[in-house]
Amino acid sequence: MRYKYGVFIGFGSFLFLISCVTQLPVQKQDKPSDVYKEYISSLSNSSDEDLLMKYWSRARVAEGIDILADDSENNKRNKNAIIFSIRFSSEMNNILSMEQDIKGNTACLLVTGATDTEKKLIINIPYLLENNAWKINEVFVKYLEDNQLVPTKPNCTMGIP
Amino acid sequence: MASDIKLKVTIAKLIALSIDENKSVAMKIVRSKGNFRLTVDQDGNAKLTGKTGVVVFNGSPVLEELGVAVKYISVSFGRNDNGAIRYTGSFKVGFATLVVSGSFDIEKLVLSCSGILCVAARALKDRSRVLRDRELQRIMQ
Repeated sequence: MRYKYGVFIGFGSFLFLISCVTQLPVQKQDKPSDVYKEYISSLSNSSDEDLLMKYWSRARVAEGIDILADDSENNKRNKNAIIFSIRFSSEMNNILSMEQDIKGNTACLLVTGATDTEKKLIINIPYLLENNAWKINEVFVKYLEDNQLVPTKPNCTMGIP
Repeated sequence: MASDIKLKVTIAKLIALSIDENKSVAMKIVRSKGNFRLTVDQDGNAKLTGKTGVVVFNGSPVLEELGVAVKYISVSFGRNDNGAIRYTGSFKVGFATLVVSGSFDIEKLVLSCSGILCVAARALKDRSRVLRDRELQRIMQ
């Protein structure tokens, strides 16, 4: 009888532990701005392939990975274009502000700053949530004129003028 | 050269190429009071379009000088109150779209191009090319 109670108590404790574990808060998901900061800090010590795989959406990885691997002369300009876009934030010398707009599985991050020649620059970055991580899907870089105001709201619908 | 300046110089070179292709029609377009547009696709097929006509030309020599593949270029032009031409240009490079804007004096551009052969890019030696780009940079504010 005592053995039976022991089994019940042991099993009850096990269920209690399981319920505690399952009720642990889900790991806090980084925001696009956090991911962007991490991306910037990785620029200097990551290869183009690593940056593409880690920070860009599946569609962009599928589009770019073969182009990066092709070292032939006639692919040079295509490869340069992918490398330029993967390292787009190099255009911005210093960041002044970041604003983000998150709607479900999509987000738009606005980064404002200046070029190394002190020209005002804004970058709007559409992000997609893939496997619980924010991934860059495209980039809109706008060089502002001196008399243009720096926007305060993200706008990822910038298109052909 | 910073990227924004490279893009502005590229726009100037493309206008110069259109003038080289068909001077009378291109000059009518760029000197008209109305808006006009310049587009280039990834194969270098370029078009200058205005109310007074269209000039179709090969923009590949200019794209090649950029050193990166460009999926498209689209530039819209209009007039400032002071008569200068305003422009906003959009360049699609890889996964990025780059937008530049500014204004320029078309007469200065035409004068400059006839003086320093800005169209015949391949014929220029490196030093001349640098001088030409510096001149175009000065014009495309």
